Order: sequence, then structure tokens, then C-alpha cells
Amino acid sequence: MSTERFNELLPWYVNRTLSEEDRAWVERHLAEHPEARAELDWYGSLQSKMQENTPAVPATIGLAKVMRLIQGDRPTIAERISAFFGDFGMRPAMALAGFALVAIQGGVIFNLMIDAQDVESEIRALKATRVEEGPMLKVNFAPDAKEADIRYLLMTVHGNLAGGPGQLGDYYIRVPAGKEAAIAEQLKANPIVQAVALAPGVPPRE
Amino acid sequence: MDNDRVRELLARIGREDQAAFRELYKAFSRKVYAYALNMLNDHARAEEIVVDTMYQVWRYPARFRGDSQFSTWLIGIARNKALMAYRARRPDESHADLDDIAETEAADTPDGFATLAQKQRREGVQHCMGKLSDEHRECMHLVFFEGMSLAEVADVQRVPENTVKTRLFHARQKIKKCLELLLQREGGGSLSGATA
Repeated sequence: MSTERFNELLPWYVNRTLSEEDRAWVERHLAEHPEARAELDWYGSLQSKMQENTPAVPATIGLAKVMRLIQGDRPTIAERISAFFGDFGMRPAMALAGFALVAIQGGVIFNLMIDAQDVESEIRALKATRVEEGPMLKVNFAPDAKEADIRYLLMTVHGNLAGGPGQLGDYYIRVPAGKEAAIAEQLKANPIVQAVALAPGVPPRE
Repeated sequence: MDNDRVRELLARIGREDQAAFRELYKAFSRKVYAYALNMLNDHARAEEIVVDTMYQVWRYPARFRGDSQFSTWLIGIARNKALMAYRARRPDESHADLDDIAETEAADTPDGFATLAQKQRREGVQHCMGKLSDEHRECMHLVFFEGMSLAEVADVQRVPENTVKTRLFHARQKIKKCLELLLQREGGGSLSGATA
């Protein structure tokens, strides 16, 4: 009976998940039956061999794929605004939406006025250069991204600003043909980039 | 990483904090990968399981209620994904030779244990683990790799604790017998290469 209990408890003794009481019981049994220690050693050896089998992969395995999924399902600003107003339900929804729209427009105008005096954040000063060939990426940068950082990033990916920013902060970047997927990945990995998507072209001026 | 830190990160993930997600990801990805690899024996599929599992965490962070270890909860998600992947795999990929070692009684003499403990190599253990049934291999992995308690293993495998004990007992017998056969086959207890 005691051997049966010992065998039952031993795996959990080895992986250190036994209660104090059971642990003490196993240790008493081992003291009284030294021959039982061979079984303990076997389990211990087995455990260490299994843990040596830990696959040698980086902690970031698959991370880029997940981040792509996450970027893909991020709601657009329009969706966020819609969700925000959705929270108010159907109570004077139209009036509230109208009021909110006016408030948002006021805020945008106010921000533009402030930005005009802020040399460090003159993202709008980026001049679009005409690039005839190559696929187009639509890129959104973090609100606090600096012009110098954006310029540097575009230079490193051999991208050219073809349009933007629009009212939603969309920049249109022309990139070398055949490299758009790799460049999109490179851009997504940069902390100043919030979203990247392939775009058919620069939309008409808003 | 303890559960408090995990909960803190999950709360931030609920606010779409990608930095928190990256931290959580890096803390647990290898654990999920090791589990999936043990189940599927396929590196590419194991990576897919990691991606699917962690993406689910990103989408539904509030589903972890904290009534178990986070890693146990995570392995539970990975298990469902692995089972789906397992069902989808080709029939010829299954472990058809499980019965090779299934019913043979392992030597239980103390000397036998000592010899095996001394000589079982990493490759030998890996080989013999691969000979186990999926349930037995999973059980061994959860106990000796993940370090889960009896209750946690039962929870992950969704079986009574007694079933876990039985699975563990049979897995032990099969592994022991398999290692003995390896020792015999490779030269009367002298396995080629380095010994443990």
C-alpha cells in the first residue's frame, strides 16, 4: 500500500507540486526505504532530460506574424469614432454626432494652428516628390513622430512621399516595385509607424 | 512571470497596448511552442499554434480570470488549437507504432532504474516520448516539462485526476521499456555517443 502511494506521489514530488504533507510523507518513505531512491533518481533524470529538450527558438518566434494580424484588425479612426458614438446608443444620436463633429473639427483646426508654430513637428512641411513608378503604401505615423524620423525612415526603405498627410493622417509612400511587402514589414516594425497598408494610389485631394 | 504581472499586462493589452503584448508574448511563447512541438512534432505547425494562441490572448485578454496559472490557461488554448491541427494532419503522420512497446512490462528492479537513470540520453528520451500515445506524451510533458500539478494536468486534459495518474503510470512503464530496448539494441547497455 505504501509503495503504491509512493509511486503515485513520486512524479509530483519530482516536479515540486506536492502539498507539504504529501512531500513529508514521500521523504519519510525514502528514508525508510532507501532502495526506492532509484525510482526517484530515474524520474529526476527523466525530467532533466525532458527539460534539456527545450526547443532552441527565440522568444520572438511568430511575433512578427501576430503583429501583422494585430495591425490588420486595428480599427480605423473612422471606426473608432463610430464605436465611440455607438456607445451613446440611439438617444439623440444625430444631434450628438453633429455636435461631436463640430467639436472634432474645432480641435483639428486648433491643433493645426498650434502645429504651425511648432518647428519640431512640422510633418506637414514634408514635400511630396513626384515619383512615377512603383507600388504605393499608405502609412500612418504616430502623432508624436518627428519629421526628421519620418524622413530618415523613408530614406532607409527607399520610399518617396507621393501624397498626404490627409485628414486622417494618411501618408502615401511610393516604394520600389517587388519590395513592397518587405518594406511594409520594415515600416511596421518601426515604433513611429502605426499602420501600413498597400494602396492603389493617392486619393484625390480632400 | 507571476500572475499579478500577467494580469497587469492583460489589462494593458485590453487597452491595445502593444508593448504589453510583446512583453507577455516573449515571456510565454517558448512554453507554448514547446508544448505544440511536443504534440505535433512539426516546427512550422508549432509556430502557427503559438501565433494563433497568442493572437487569441490579444483579442480576448479578459477571458483569463486568474483562477489558474496563466501558463495553464494558455496551454489550454494551445491544446485546442493543437487538437484541431492534429485532426487536420495526414493519417500517415500518426504514431502508428505505439503498440511496439505498449504492453511489455518494464523492469522494476532498483538496478534497472539506476542503469536507466545513468544511461538514458536526451535523444533516447526524445525518441521514446515520440513512441507514446498523444495523451500519454502530453501528460508527461505537462508534468515534467511544464511542472504542472495533478489538478492542473487534469484541468488541461479535461479528465479526472485518476485518469491522469493512470496515464502517467502507463507512460512511465512504456518509456522505461523503450529505453531498455534502446540500451539493448545499441549494445547491451552501452549506448553510442555521450551518456548522461
